[in-house]
Amino acid sequence: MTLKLPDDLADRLSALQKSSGALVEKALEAGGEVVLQQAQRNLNSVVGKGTKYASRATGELERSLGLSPVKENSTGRDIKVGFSEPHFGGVSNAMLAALLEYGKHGQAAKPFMTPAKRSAQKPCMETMRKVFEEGVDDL
Amino acid sequence: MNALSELGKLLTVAKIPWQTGAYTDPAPDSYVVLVPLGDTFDIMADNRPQFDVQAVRLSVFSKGNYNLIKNQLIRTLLDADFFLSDRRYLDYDNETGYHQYVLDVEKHYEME
Repeated sequence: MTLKLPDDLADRLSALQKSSGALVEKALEAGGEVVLQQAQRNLNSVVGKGTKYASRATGELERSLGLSPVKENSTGRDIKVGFSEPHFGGVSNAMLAALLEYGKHGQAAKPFMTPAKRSAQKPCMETMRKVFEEGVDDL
Repeated sequence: MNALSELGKLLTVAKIPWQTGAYTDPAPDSYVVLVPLGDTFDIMADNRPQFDVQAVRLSVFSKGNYNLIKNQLIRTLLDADFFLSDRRYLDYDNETGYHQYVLDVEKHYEME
């Protein structure tokens, strides 16, 4: 009688251990892209709309919205959807975005990021799972 | 019942001035603006959603101690089974003198 060790499984587990970092990064980037696209759609639909005076929007805020690189945090790794700086004229893009998102006294809020986070949550998780599983299958 | 109407009733009972979208009347020292954040379906059965999850943002504006209205609201919302998904102090506006505090809430409503 001969005993055959499950070499294939052991080899794949070993390969997964070696490439898990790259796989996680790829999944985070794919998921982040889903949230980014939803945030961009929402932002485009609120910038310069329903303003009291003629809109002076230049598109700079929309262009500054993007993805951060994947970074380590206290619990693992993450990727962020946010704004690059600076904005022409000295104001920050993040401040303009917060004004849109939360409004202020006398200025109605036009939330775009929170709704994007809500509506993109499931597609984002689904995309990340798919990318990760495809990566595992290819090992 | 939906989240906006339920929140409106709670605020009216609590005697907190409120409006939806923007406060268009001359503003009192403390008021709340309700901003709908979105509705999503949850828990599918027989190819139909069983719950409608409604999310609303309560923007609290106060010229005085915003903690009083904030704490009152949080107690009221929790008692009414709202889930608080976010709460944060935003800013003190030097021009208008208002503190702004934000509460994001969600509630599941069974599909009728």
